[in-house]
Amino acid sequence: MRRRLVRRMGLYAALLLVMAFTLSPYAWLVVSSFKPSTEIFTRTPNWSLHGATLKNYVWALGPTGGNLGIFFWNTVLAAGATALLTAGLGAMGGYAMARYAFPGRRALALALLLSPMFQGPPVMIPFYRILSTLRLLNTIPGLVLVYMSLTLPICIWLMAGFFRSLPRELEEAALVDGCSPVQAFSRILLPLTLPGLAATSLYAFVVAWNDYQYALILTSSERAKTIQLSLSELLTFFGQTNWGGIMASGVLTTLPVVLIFMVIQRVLVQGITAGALKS
Amino acid sequence: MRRTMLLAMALLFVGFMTLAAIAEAGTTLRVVFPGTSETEKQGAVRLKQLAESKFPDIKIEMMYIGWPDLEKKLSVMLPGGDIPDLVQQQEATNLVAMGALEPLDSYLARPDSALKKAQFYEGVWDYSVYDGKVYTIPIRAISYGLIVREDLLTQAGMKLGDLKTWDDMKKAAKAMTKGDVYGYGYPLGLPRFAWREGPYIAGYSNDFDLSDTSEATKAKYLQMLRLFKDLQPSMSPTTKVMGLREAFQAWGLGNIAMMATGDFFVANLYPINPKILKVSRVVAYPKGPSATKPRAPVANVGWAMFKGSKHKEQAWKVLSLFCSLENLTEESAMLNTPARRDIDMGKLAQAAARFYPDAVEDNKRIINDFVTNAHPVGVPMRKILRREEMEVAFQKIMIEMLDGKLTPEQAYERIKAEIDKIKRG
Amino acid sequence: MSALSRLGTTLSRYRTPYLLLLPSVAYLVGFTIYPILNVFYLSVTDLHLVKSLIPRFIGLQNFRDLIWSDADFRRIVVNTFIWTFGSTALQFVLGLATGLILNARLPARGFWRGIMLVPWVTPIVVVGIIWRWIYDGSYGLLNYYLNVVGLLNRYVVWLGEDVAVWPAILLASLWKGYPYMCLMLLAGLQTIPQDVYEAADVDGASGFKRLWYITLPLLKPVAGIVTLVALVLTWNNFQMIWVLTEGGPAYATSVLATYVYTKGFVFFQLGSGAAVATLSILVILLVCIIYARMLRLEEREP
Repeated sequence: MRRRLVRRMGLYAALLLVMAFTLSPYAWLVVSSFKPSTEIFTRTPNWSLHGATLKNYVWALGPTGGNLGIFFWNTVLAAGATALLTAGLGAMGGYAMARYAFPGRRALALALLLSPMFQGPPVMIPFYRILSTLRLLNTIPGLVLVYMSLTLPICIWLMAGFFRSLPRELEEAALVDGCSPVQAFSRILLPLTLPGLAATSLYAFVVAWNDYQYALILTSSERAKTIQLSLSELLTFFGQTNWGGIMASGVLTTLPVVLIFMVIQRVLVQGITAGALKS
Repeated sequence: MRRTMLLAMALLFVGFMTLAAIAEAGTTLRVVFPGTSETEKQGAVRLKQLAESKFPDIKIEMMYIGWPDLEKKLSVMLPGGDIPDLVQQQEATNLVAMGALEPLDSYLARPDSALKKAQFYEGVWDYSVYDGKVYTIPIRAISYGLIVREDLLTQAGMKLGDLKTWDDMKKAAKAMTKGDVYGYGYPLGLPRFAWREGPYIAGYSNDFDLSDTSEATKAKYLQMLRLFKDLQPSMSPTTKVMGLREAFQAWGLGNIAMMATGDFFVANLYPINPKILKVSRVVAYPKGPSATKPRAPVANVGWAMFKGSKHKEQAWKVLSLFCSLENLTEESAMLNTPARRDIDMGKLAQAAARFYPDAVEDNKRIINDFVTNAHPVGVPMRKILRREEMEVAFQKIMIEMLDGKLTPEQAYERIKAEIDKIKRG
Repeated sequence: MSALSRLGTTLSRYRTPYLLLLPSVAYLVGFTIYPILNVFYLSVTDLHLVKSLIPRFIGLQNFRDLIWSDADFRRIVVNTFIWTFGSTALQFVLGLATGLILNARLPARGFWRGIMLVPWVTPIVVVGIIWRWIYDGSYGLLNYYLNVVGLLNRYVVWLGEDVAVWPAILLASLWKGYPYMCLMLLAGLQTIPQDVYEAADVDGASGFKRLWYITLPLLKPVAGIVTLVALVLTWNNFQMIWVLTEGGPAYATSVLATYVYTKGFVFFQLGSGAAVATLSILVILLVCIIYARMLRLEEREP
């Protein structure tokens, strides 16, 4: 009984430590977002919210200031579409890689690992030309197509890893029980890999979310520009930089994604416990 | 009979729609605009409205790209065959070298051209000339000088007028360094500023250009290197990582007493600490020992036209409008200093009050400082091809010299070797 | 049997995996072949946009220049190893620890999991501003607090001093990237069925033994792949370093990925930049092969 209490205390202490590490830089961001620009970079840290203002948030959302609404929406669309497509194709491909020893598997594995390594200035002109020919420049589908080149290969690898960690006996037992391979896949395997699938989709989402370079080169207007781009444009060299506005924009960009994840992750847990109980 | 009528009507309809389509098409000019701060964007919107109201058959599409990303994006668009019409740029060396810009001399020479060289400050105008041809029309001048905390200077027993030579500057720097105030600020942290915000400006004040490594300039170059070595005790230990932004932050917090930089510092400091503008003054960078006459580097921000543009005539019309007198009064109020000499300073101050409401008088004073000290002795900053590579090598060697790993003489030899290698290709 | 009919047999025998992979492979071939070939092509040309828009073939000259004449290249390669392995190792340790914590029964677990995600989704530009201010040499938060609690008695220029700069960068990278590891390992942990633990409990296994003998071995396939992927991603990640130091001062914090960027987008030397990219890919390829072999990932035959 005592040992369990000590373990509990240890667990909570560890949790608090990790959360403190995670949140302290972010805390500075949040506090700064409520301050006027002139009070953000101070000689000694000033955490007091005396004189707090919402002006920065108004500016961040306003059409002349940060105009976050549109860019946030663009980024969510692009990242979301990338995540969905990647998850679907990645699950299929990962399953094939994990469960079948087909000829060419090793070569394909290597090719998949290599292809997202081709990034940066040397590939920009080809991608630009491709999208230009397809008339997909400055569009969200165009961005998604390019992002998939970064996310899909890796996600096939990751899903293969998740599938491989499940014992073969599960499918074999299902097949013995009279399920078709498709049923074995969808009724037994898929629910168990749901956490892996969710993690991989989230990974694809965040990769697309965090991208700056491709968005810079391949988009040019509010029709498709993403938030990373619009935020970096707020950091100016000649004109007046609205530091408070940038802080507020940073907070507004992060919070919704975090909140949505908090909601979604509970659904996933339910998915697994159901699957585990069944087995 | 009926069939013929139907056919005729169909043809008329098609013809009408085609004509309507052509009429509606008009011309869309794509304008690459690198000013992405709120005020600059408002300026862009104003320009768009101005152009579209004056020329109803022209539509303006503004493409906003941040200053640091401008050339990167163009370097992909241009080989990709996607060429816009107008661009606002400061240094056009790379674009000119890529063959991307249209020379504007023939347009300026037209009798009905609204723009003429005489309307602009000479040094500022000459910055737009590359290999004898004019490639951009200036809208704002960028003047470089020495900004000084007048209050700290007074405390040290000196006046602004005392800062005439490098020795004066060294004396002032030493006297003003105490506590957590450093007498001389030098943003060594990024190559561009390690080159420009210090050695380059100092070089001009000592009659040479940093990319000139010939025997003729060797003595002057060494003097400049020794100057920075001598100033080092007055520099903050964070000098090595300070970019320009950090330098301005430090200035805003009262941490630096003197620094060489350009007139955009007002716009940068205003959001951090407008009060510091009260005590920040500008003088021409003090004369070096080899200087024959005072010189200050000037640059400009200007409009240019792409050689591959498909609507050059309309682009020129719009460009001329953008550089008209009334428009440039507004522009210069927003940022930097005026490029046209015929701008009414009273009107400018009035317009500036909108952008710097908490520092109207201070802003006016500082602009005045620049215009009186820099423009009359303004010499256009030299356009150096592959300057970016030189900056990186230069920064490395400066760091080693200030770290004590190289003497100024050794540093000079290394700089010369690196720059010559880059020039050779 | 003729080769063609052998091909036919193979295709029909393995038609399930081939069909499953067909859309992905078709997309990748269609979309990435041209860019990949373009990199190799550029690496053997002298394309330098401010000299000429037309590239000329120069064979392996770029590679020779990099390996023999470029004074910074060796250091950049070393930096890349420090950056990649340091970052991945740190992220793995913290990610695993956090994954274990967040897998346990906690009140408001969903809330904590959401918070964990914060660094990963904070826009990179903002991350740069925050951490540059934390590391500021005159007024930074880190200096202030370390001095206040007495761990330090002077102000360190974190992003400038030789000894401090890599730990500083790795710490910031740890903060930004550990959620990825945590997320993946958490998913892996959740895939371990409960009855395995129940059997262990019956056998009287305590917490640490459970971790070492049950959890970690079962996690190994996932962990192996996730870290391999992390190595590759970190190797190519130039954003994190760029927003902190732009690879400076003077290439001190440059890695291969930032060097490609500098050469391509700052100097416009696309030929040389492509050569750096090619060398970079070759090295990481080698690393991956060695790493995968070490983990014996390929030997799980069905």
